[in-house]
Amino acid sequence: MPRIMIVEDNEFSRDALARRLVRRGFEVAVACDGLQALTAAHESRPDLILMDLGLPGIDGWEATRRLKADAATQHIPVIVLSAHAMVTDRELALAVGGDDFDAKPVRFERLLEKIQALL
Amino acid sequence: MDPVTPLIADSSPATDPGVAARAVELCQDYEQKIHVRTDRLFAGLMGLQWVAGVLFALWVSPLAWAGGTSRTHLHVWAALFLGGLLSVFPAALALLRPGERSTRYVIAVAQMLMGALLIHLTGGRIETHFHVFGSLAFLAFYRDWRVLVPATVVVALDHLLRGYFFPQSVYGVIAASPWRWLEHAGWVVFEDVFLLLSVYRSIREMRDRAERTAALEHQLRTRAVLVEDLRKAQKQAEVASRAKSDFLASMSHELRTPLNAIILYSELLEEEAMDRPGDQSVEDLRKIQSAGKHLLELINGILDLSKIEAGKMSVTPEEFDVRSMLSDVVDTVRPLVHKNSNRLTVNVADSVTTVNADVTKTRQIVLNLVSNAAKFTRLGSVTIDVTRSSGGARDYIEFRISDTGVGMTPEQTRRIFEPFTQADVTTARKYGGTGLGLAIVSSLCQLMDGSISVDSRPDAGSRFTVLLPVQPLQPAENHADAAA
Repeated sequence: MPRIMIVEDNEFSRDALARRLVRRGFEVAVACDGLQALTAAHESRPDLILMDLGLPGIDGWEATRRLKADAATQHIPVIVLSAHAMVTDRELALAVGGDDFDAKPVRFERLLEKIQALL
Repeated sequence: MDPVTPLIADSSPATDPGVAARAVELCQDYEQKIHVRTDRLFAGLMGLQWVAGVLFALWVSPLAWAGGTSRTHLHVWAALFLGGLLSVFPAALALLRPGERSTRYVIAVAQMLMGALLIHLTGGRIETHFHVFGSLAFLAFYRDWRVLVPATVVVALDHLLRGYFFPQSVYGVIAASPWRWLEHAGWVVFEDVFLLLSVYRSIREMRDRAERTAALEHQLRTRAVLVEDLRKAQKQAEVASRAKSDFLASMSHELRTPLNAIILYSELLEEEAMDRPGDQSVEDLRKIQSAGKHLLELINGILDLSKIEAGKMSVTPEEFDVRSMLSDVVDTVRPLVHKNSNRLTVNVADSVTTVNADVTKTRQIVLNLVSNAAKFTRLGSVTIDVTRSSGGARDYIEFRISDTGVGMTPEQTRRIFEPFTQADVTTARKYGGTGLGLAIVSSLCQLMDGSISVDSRPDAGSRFTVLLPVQPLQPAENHADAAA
């Protein structure tokens, strides 16, 4: 059973996405900010991370960069999610080492396809 | 526009009291400069005349008046002392108080007396009388007619008195007619007439020049103010435009976050409801989702429009196959075409192969037009014709999207490319859509150096024609814009 970690500071978005993924048979862990995400990624080594960009403290860009710079976590695929939907966000997300990008509000079926492709 | 027009109208210099005052000031300034310059001229002339007078006395007087004796003649001393007396005071005034009215009156009187001395020193030779006419002409340099009055009076009185008491000194003869001074004075007045005319014309020209200069200064000042105003207004507009697009970008972000939760929860609830047979809430949950997605389209549309307006939408040309782009569009739009029982036909001319353009934007344009055609047509047909055409120096690809749907009135077609102007208010309710699609399509066409036009009649369908260049005009420059 693939384990997915959702990094998202908005409680509703985090909860709704988590419950939908659980219904599709994923095991889901959540983190509310970049620091939690880095610690949790080290401890639990999820199979995939959904990373929001606008996070308090260490933001999604920095967290992704650190995950990809760390030998212990660099193999974990990261899908970057952003509500900005600007082309520059996508380019930046991929530049810091994200494996894919999706805009919020997420289209769940499309996101599932992206997740399946990376697992 | 409005705040600018009156500024130009107000700048008419003829009616401006400030300009007239400035013209008077300029004219006085010119006159003052001329007076000072002429004072200096006379200071020099005084010195020269003094020296000339002494030389006349040394060379002419002893021979003409004392024969062969070598005694210093009285005239030499007269030339030295009288000439000095006549020269030093006005020359000093010219140097110490240049431009003063009294200075030029003193100079006028002294100059004429110097003439009288020179005539005396040359034994009343008629040739030396020309000094009088030359002096008057020099005095006219002041461009002040009043200076000529004391000068003329001095000449006339000198001729009258010396002609009566000492005619040899002024006419070079022992006895002269008592009226001879009148003839001399007459010729002086004759010259005065021309000098006065010339002074009058010269003053008038000076006044004209002052008025023109004042008007020009006023225009330059007005224009500088105008340019500064325009620059400020432009800067304000740029700041406002940037603030607006920043606001829209952050607004769009703030709206997306809660919308994300709404759509995810309603989809989650729908999935859960579908697991419970007979649950009535599925339909309602779908309506929430549909409303949420409509809201999302609006947000995306507004963001797109504001990006285009703010010049932040970049065009990235790349070589792509037109047929494969069209097949993407057809796949996407097929469910909508079938929903209204329409027939979709695609005709691509053989000459159409690949184009070098922004593929995402081209697809967005065609997809939007085909979706509209499918949406506004029922039990009819939607046709996509793609051809290649030459327009002037450039080759274009032409997309023609025709339908047999509801069509539009001429009034409706006129406003169709403006934002939030669906053909009429009931349209949005009946057919859905954001009212932004065609505004975005039209802006995208312009952005890509292309054009869009529409031909439509009510109940006879619509035909949208899009022309896009096959090659970007200056690929390097476009790329630089895209990067910026």
